[in-house]
Amino acid sequence: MISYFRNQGLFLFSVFCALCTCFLVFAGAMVTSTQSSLAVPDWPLSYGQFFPPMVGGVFYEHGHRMVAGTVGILTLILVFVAAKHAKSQTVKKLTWLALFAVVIQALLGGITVLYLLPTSISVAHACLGQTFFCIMVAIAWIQTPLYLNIKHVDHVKLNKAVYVQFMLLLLVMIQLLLGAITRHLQAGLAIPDFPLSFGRLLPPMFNQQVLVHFLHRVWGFVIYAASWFIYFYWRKKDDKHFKLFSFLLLLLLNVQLFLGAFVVWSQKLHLITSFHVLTGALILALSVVMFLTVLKKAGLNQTSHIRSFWLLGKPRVTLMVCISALAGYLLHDVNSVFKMVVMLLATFLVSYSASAFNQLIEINEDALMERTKHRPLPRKMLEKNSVLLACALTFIIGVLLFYVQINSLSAWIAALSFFSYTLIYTPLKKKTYLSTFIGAFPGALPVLLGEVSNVGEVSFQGVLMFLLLFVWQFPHFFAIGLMYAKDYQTAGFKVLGINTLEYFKTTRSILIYTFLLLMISVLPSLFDFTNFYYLICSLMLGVLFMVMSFRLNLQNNFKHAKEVLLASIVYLPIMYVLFIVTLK
Amino acid sequence: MSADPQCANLNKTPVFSETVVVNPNKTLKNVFVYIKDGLTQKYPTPAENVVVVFDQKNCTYSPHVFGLQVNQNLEIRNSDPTLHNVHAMPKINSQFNLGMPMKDMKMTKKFAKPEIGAKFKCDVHPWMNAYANVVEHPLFAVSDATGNFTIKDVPAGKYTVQAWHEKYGVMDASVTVEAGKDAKIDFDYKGDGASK
Repeated sequence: MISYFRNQGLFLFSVFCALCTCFLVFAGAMVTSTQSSLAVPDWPLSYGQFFPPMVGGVFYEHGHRMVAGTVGILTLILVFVAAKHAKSQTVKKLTWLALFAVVIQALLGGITVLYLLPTSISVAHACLGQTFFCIMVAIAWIQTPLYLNIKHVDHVKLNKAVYVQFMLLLLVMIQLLLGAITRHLQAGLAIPDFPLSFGRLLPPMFNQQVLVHFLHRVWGFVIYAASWFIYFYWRKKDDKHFKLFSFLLLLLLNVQLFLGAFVVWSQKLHLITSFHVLTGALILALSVVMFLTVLKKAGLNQTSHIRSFWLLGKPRVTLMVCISALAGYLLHDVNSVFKMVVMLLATFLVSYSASAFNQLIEINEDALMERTKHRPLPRKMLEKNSVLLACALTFIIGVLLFYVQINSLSAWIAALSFFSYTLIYTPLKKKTYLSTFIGAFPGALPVLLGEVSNVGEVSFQGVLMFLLLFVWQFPHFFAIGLMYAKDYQTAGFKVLGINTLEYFKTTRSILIYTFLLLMISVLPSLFDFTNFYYLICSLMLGVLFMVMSFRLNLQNNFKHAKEVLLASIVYLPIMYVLFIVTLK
Repeated sequence: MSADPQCANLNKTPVFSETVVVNPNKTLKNVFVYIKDGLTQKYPTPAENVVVVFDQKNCTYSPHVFGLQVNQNLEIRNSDPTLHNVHAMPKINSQFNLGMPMKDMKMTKKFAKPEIGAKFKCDVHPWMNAYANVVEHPLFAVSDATGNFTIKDVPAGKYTVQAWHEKYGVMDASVTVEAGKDAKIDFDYKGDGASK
């Protein structure tokens, strides 16, 4: 009984938080609409105080900071209340996600003020703000009696519906991005008329602002058309909840269309523009609600699904890829932490995409191997089409992030890594024993990706780091191969043979390669890139690694092979740190 | 002015935008005139105490258009009992945005590179703006309430002189200065914004 009231309390508090966040979105929009973004030049204090006089632009900017601070505190309280009283683990995890998001949002807000509004930071602040709003709405929504009472209907019948709602969410997210870019490139009135553009269907000339403004309009119409399609789709299926949702969606979209027109006709009146932003946020939130609800209806709302999607990206491999990219990045001074974070995110996305695609190609082989038969696809936890969609989205977003936010060369390297890994190395695994050598190239590319992301070119130190990672792949993979030799043979991979003669060859290879690794790790000292400590430590580590592989040579068993594998995983990050810290 | 009660208090009579100020004798005020080409000698950076004063008074910037030398000290003052921020948006020099919450506080800034028409604005009071013009030498002037400007101590020689107005753009003219004599130039601006 008491727990019911506590749950009610949590639910009502969640709703209250979502409403406050809604107001915050509006308050934030008013800051940009009134051009008060820099009215308070300092952060986190305002003119050195907590409460400056609320005059002119300061009223909007500092006012919005105060609302934001309040929402931040409410989020913190929500985390504690949910931790204590929430029945659902999902609710608890979402509150932590919300807290994380609001902290990052505050930091982005501060950075954009202190660095005088760089476009990408302002756009990120805008998008994250609405994303945070959606998280708060989701937290409240999944506690509503309506959601809780939704019964799982046949999953197969609702497959198309899940895709439809996902596509809607994706379309709206893209429009949010386009809208934010339009605002922060000051392109709101780049086309002065509506619905025509300079009196024509297509603008007679395109510059950056006209282009993004026009794209925003076109995409708005795309979503408008999509919302009609969704309305008729659910009417045909005769689902009472979704008929209501899609009616609401259509209503909001008509309002949004009118508001968009009025922004242009009123020459960006502050209130109209801010309501346009707010309505956009409401549409996004509704799309999230619809997507969550259809997932529950289709029985796809288990956290095991989220876990399956996570495992698709081969988390440990991706982590090593990101660490290698970071190591390459840190070979030079960090001028922009934001760019470094974007690089890590983009690297994560492309690595995820390649890993997921690889799992898609090798479903049958994975099913045959002890090591991999618990992966999501062999276990039929996910549909192939969902995986393909996830691959495509993460790849496109990752490469675009590189191209737009970092530089074009990094985008090419990222794409090259993806294609060489999935379309060259993966198919060759069954054809030739040389596949490990070939695969070592995409394996070592992350280091170059990181360096190029920072400085736009490859230095000799970068090449040395690349060589290190390249040679490292061999003892690493051969150790895995020894551990699971029988499996690899069953699946038909030409990585190693299984008779003892072959075992002997492989263990000797490992020894040779660790020796090679030692030699290469010493090169930076030879070229005077690093100091004496590096030489000593890299020698010690290299010798230790060699000793482990020597033990494997003496007695070839699973335990020794695993020890070599673990040694390789420890060796690499330590070498990175050593190299970067002692770099001259 | 109504956005800030202090500003409203300080300005009981209507205040007009200073974008285009036409003098009673039909001449243009706030045109920045300077020697663009032809100078052969180098002028040293002015001493630390030779400052150009830029004030925020009665919720307007004063002067509205001014010139200063490269690396000359610009002393920014706030003579109002309200907070202002000075947001400088040059395209060549570095931007800055400084809060000035207290009456009579001063801040000093320099511009390291020559630049014409660098805009200053106040983000708290959006009607406030001004333009700085950074030149490598002291041979510049701003047209006054009679439309006149005077540039003193110009060495003899042949020069290109440029006039800049925030709305009506730039105009160039050639002039030859003879030793010991005055040289005269007129700039004719057309009201429909012809010269850009």
